Formats: sequence, C-alpha cells, structure tokens
Amino acid sequence: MIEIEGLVARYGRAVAVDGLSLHIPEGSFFGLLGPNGAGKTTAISCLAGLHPPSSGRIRVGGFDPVRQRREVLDVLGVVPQTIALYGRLSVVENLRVFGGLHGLHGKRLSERVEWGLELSQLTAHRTKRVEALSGGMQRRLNLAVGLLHEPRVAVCDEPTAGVDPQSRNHIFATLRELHQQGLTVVYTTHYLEEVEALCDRIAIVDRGHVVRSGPLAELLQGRGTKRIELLHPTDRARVVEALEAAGIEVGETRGRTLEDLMLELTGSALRE
Amino acid sequence: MTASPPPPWGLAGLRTLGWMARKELLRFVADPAGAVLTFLVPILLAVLMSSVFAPRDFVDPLPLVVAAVEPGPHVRTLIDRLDANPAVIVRRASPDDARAQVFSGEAAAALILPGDAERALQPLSLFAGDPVPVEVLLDPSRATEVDILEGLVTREVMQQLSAELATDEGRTHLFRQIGLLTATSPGLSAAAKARWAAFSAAGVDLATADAGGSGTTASGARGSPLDLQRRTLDVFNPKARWNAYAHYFAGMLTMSLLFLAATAALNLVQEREEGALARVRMSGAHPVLALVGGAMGTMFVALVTACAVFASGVAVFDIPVGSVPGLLAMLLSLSALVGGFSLLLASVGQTARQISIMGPFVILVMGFLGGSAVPTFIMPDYVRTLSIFLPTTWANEGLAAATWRGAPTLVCFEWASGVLAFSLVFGLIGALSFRWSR
Repeated sequence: MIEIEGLVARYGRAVAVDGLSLHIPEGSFFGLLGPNGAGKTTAISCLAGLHPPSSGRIRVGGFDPVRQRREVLDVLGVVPQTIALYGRLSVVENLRVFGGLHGLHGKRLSERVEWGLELSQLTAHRTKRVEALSGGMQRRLNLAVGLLHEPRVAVCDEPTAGVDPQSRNHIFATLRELHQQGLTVVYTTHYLEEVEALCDRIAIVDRGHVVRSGPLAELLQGRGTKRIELLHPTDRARVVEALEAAGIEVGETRGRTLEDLMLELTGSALRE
Repeated sequence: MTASPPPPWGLAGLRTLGWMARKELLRFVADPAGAVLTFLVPILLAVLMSSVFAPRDFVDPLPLVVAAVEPGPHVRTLIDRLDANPAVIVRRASPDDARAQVFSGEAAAALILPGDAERALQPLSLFAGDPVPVEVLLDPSRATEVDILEGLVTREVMQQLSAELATDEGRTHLFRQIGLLTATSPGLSAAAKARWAAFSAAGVDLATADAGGSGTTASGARGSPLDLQRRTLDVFNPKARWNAYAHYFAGMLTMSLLFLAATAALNLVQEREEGALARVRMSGAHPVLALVGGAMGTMFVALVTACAVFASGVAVFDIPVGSVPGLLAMLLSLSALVGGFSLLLASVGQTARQISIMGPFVILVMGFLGGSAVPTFIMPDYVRTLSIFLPTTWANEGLAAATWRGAPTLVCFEWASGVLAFSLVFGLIGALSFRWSR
C-alpha cells in the first residue's frame, strides 16, 4: 500500500529524513516508532505531499504524492499529532467543513458527518464548540475528521497523546474495528505498549532512517538468543541458578518488551 | 512533604509577581522580530506623523487662482500683496481658466475680482458705498482651505487700505474724494454740503501739513469693502455640497474594514500555528484556492458591514447618494480590498504578534495619508502625490464620488476599479507568498 525508497527530506540544511525505506503492506497495522526528531512526522508530511522530498521515491496506493497529490489524498487519511480543528466552530461544523473540502457533498456528506459523530461518540455534543470539549473528545473528533472521506490508509500520528484511558480505549477499539474492515493503519506513538497491543508490523526509525523493521513477533524474538518463558515467574531465581550451574550465561531475567528493543536500537540518550 | 501554594502576600507574593513578570518578559523576547517591531513601530509612526502633520513651517502654501476682470492699480497691488504672502501661491488667470483650475483640483479656490473691485480697494470704500461682491469659487471638499484663504485675502485688503491711509497721498486722496462725494450727493442739504466741503478742505490741509502721518484709520470705519461670496463648484454636480457625514462614514468605514482584515490575517496565522491549515491542505484543497476561499468569507463580512454602515448613514444622517450602483461598486471593491489586504498581511507577518503590531501601524498610516481621518491639505505636496499609491485614497475619493459629489456611475466604477486593482495585487502577492508552515 505504501512504498518508500531512499527518501531524503530536508528543512533548509537540516536533514530530517535520511534515506528512509519502508514497505507497508495493504491491510497491515503498521507501527512507526522512533524517538523525537527521528523523522516520523516529516515522513508523514512527505506521504501527504505537504513536504517535498529532496530525493527518493514514494508511492501511496500506487500514486506519487507530488505528481498525483489529489489521488494520494483520496487514499490517505491523516490524523495529525496536533488537534487540527477549528476551535470556534462546533463539532458538526468541523465535520462538514473538512468533509466538504474532501469533496463530499449532499446526502453523502450528511451520512459521513453522522458517521463521524458516531465514531467519535460526540452525537450528543454536535453543536458544542470544539474549544469547549475535553482533550479526549477533541482527540476523538480529530480521528473522525481524518477518516471522514473513507481513506484506504489511515496515518495516525500519536492519536492518543494526552487523553484519558476511556478515550484511548475508544480510539484503539475504533482503529481495530476499521482495520478488521480492511483499513491499513500506520500508527506512530511514544506509548510503546500501544504498538505492542495494536500493530502486527513495525519499523523503528532513528536519525531519519529505518534501523529495524518487520513483523512485531519476529523482532521481539531477538537476534540469536534463546528466550525462556517461565510459567511460574516466582521460580525465576531458582531457574537462573540452575541455568548458571549448568554453565549457561543468563543475560536477562525479565521478559523482553518492545521498549527494550527500541532503546537497544536507538540508545537511551535524550534527543532534541 | 508536599509543597503548599505560597500565600498571596509578603515575600512569597512578591516572588509570584516577579516570576509572572519574568515569564512575560521571556515571552516578549522569544519572538525577536516582534520585539524589535514593538519598539520600531511607535518610532516610525511618530516620525511619519510628525513629518506629515507638522507645525506651520511644514504646511505648504495654499494655491489660489486670482482672476481680475479689470485690473486697476489697486487690484494689482492686492494681487501682488497676496503673492508676497508665504501662505499662498497666487496664480493669475482669466475667469474661465480660474474656474477650470478649481474644477480640476489644481487650486483650492479662485478669487474672481470684478471691475468694481478697483473702487472697493480705495480708502473711501471704508466709509461709503456698499461692499463689492467678489466670487470665491471652491471645490466643496476644500472648504477648510478656503476658510484660511478668505481670512488671508481679507487681511491683505485691510492692510492695503491701512497702508494707503498711512501715506499723505492716500489721506489727501481720501479727503478729496469725501469732498467730491458729498458735493454731488443729492440727499444732502446745501448747508451740509458746505460743512462737508470745509471738512474735506481741512482734511486735505491737515494731510499735506502732517508729513509723518499717524497711520490710523478714521473712526467709524466699516469692515472689508470686498464681500467674499462663496460658490461651490464640482466636477460632476454643480449643486454638490461637502457632507461631513459622508466623508467620515467613508473614512472610518475604510479604516474599520482594514482592521477587520488585520484580524482575519491574525486568525489565518493562528490556524497555521495550530495545524488546522495543514489539515486543509491534506484535504487536497489547492493552496491558493484555500486562501482565497478564506479571504472571500472575510470579504462577505466586510461587504455586509459596509452596506449596513452606509445604509444607517443614509437613513439616519441623510448622506446623499449620487449613484447607487456606483456606491455598491465601491463597497464591493472595498470588501475585496479587505480580503486582499488580509492575505498580504498574513504573508508578511511571520507570527501572530508581528501581525498584531504591524497591522495597526500600516492601517493608521494608510488611513491618515489616504484622508480617512484628517483633511489632506495640511499634508506636504509630496505626501499628497504619493497618496495616490494608497488604496485608502482611492476608497475615500470613490466613496465621495458616489455619495455627496454625485458623480456619474461610470466615474464611480473607475474609482472602484482602482480599489479592485489594489485588492488583486495585494491578494495575489499574499496568496503566492504565504508560508504554509513556519
């Protein structure tokens, strides 16, 4: 569904994306991970045709975001990191404006607006100004607006930042359901447990390029090491003792998480 | 132990004040260009305004056309005296030329001195005879300039008469004329005529004997012997009268609408900063169309405002409307100007703060120099010439043409086209140079 080869994107002299290559298959739930400044948001901007790539090749649903921007934006739905809505307009007005800008009109627009209200669970608040909504409600509406035009791919850039657990669960459930209906989802977040819970494939990006990618299960297997899963974690000390007595070096005594993997690959130094 | 909120008094209160003040200062310097503009704009505004609306020595002389039907020596002296006055530039012309110069706006007013003016400018006219009517032709919009010119003319006339009375020849002439006048006056008895003849002879003797002269005029002198009678001229409508409501409704509306444009520019930049504009672009909307569409919304608000303002002006304050289609065209073009100006301002201003400083500065300058607030005659010539490059000048002149001047519709359309041209240029530059991301 999305093919990126050797993408380079700059802001002036600063290189934000440096030779990024990705293959995101249709129907996948793809996690895009990386520390701040890794180039994730810039890559998304390039996908949506908002930022022109310096070099490289991008295809979204077979279309070139620079030359076939309109087609790409029909295929792609972007849920931005910020609450990109008109605060002084009501919920329904925001849905109508952005739906209209996407080319929806008449009965179809009304149907999609109702769908968006349902999706964001904001039907009861349809006439409220967006600026008067809670953070969680705004996030849900942000998601609904991004998906209003029925894209085949949803790129969600930290869609749960700063929301309460209820809204987060609602967003998860919504994305899972849409994914099951055939939507390809690209998901970026700093909450790694979200990726573990949702994604089937991931790519870890650092300093503008992919440092690891593949199916989540494979990546968590590690590289040439054996993983022993204890059925009774309380026996951990005895098991370790027995293994060491047998001459087996024990590296870790806890389960490996995605966070471990990411920190291993990208380091623990703070980023700008 | 958890920290408890500091009490609102004492040292803790002072610390709160200090931290909040520090925060505000940090915010101030966080946008260096905005900080520089904060200092620069008042200085620029002060320099500009003081150079334009300066004290007397900066005021340009007022142009006055003088046409004398039969220029005798006293009339010529008056014209020379006016010419020597630094507050006036005198252009000598025939009555027809004088009229044409006022029509075209080259001169504030024309003074048409009739044949009787020669007699009126002699000292006897201070004591006998009716004042001579003198036509002052003026453009209705320049009445304030004509007030000044009339004062100057009257002063010169009276000084000329005083100067003549201060000379022996002048006084001798005056007393001789009194003798002649009273001798031939049919209303006087023979005895009265004899007394006046004796008075005249004594006066002549006294004037001849007193070589120094007192320079004072005789008691019982009247006002100026020239009765300045105004006649307004207008290019389009001879009956047009300058209307203060029409003038200030136009000027203040123009400035208010430009402030509306500044608010729209501010909103646009805030939308960019909050990410809503990026989402608009991600909808596939063409960038220029998206900007122009937003500007059209502002234009609509401006049009409704403009119509409401002028409708109330017409209904409540009797603002005369010369051409309804002309006025509508002007209001429409003014609304387009609001859209174009908002885009230009949003593209020039990098941040909301820069726009909030730059906008009022530009609007005040354009409003003042374009004649929205004060009469343009007090400005130097070069400013008046340069003001033709300001949309506010076109807007104010066009609205004047459509209202109290009573210009034909086609003339109003010409002014409206000028405003529209500014709108298009502003809008085009704004839409093409707008930065979609900071």
